[in-house]
Amino acid sequence: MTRSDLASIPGNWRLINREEVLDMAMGDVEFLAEMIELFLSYVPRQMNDIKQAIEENDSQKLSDAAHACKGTISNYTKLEPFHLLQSLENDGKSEQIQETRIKFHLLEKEISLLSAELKMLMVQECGHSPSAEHAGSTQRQSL
Amino acid sequence: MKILVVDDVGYTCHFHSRLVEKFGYTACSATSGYEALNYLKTDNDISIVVTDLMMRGMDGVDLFREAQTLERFTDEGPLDPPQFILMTALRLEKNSQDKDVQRLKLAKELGVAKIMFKPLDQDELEATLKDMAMGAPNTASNGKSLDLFTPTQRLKEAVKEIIDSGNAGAAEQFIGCLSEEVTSLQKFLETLETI
Repeated sequence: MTRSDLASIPGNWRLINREEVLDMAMGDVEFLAEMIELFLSYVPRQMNDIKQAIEENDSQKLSDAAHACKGTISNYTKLEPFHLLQSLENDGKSEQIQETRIKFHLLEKEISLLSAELKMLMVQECGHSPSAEHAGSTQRQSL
Repeated sequence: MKILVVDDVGYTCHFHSRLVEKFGYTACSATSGYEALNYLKTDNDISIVVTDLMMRGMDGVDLFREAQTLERFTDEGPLDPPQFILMTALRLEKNSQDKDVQRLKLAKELGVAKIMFKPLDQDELEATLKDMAMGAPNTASNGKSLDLFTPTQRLKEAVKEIIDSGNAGAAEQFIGCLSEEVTSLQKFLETLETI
């Protein structure tokens, strides 16, 4: 069973706290669906910004891009993806970017899991999946 | 009265704008400090700005500074600068040399009414907006109302500093009294609004 499969089991969340996410949406399932859809459309772009910064060895850009993505995911989790983004942001600030590729690969897996959990939460709470536009938008973007 | 939400991360900007609307206020949004400044120049209904600290170009501190010098007028005369809530994912650490943390400290020194840490505590945001809105000038009616939030907030922060410095007993007693006075004043103002 993969970690993404685990996310598909109702109540088995590794990254999100269901109650906290529902609180964030003030218990409004339409608002929750809107924000998850928006999350699924933004995160791939933000991941792409991080990837480009790493490829270009641009530490300032890496710090900015990781900080922005951290802000986006912080409403949903404070676990591994958050820590990885914080670490990438710090690497950018201190211009220590030797290990960023490894961290980015780990981050891709974590973001995929987070997206899977949010999609599942959307199905459970809102009764529908994300629009087709976002259904496959969290595919990995290998360096 | 409108609330301007400023954040250069589209997701966060959208999320906080929708949150403000769900609290019952009219929100508008800008994705840069420059765009926010243009809004402030042209829309006198904006009384509160909820802005991110770290933004490319003009950051939240520069936006606050620029907003203090803006000349906004209504038919009744000059309008006070909007009240500011500064949002950040940073944490204030003593002796930190991080330039972003230094900006955050500067924001505090400059007198930004409220600094909130991301992810925002929604109850705290709602309460803060309510307090600010009660002191916000109403451009749709005659005259300006009193900004009670900013001085109260500064007083509270001053007392917190006393607590941090070790004189806890006296300071806690003082902040308790102050909170009671503010609550009484809020109830009085609510009574006025219903008349």
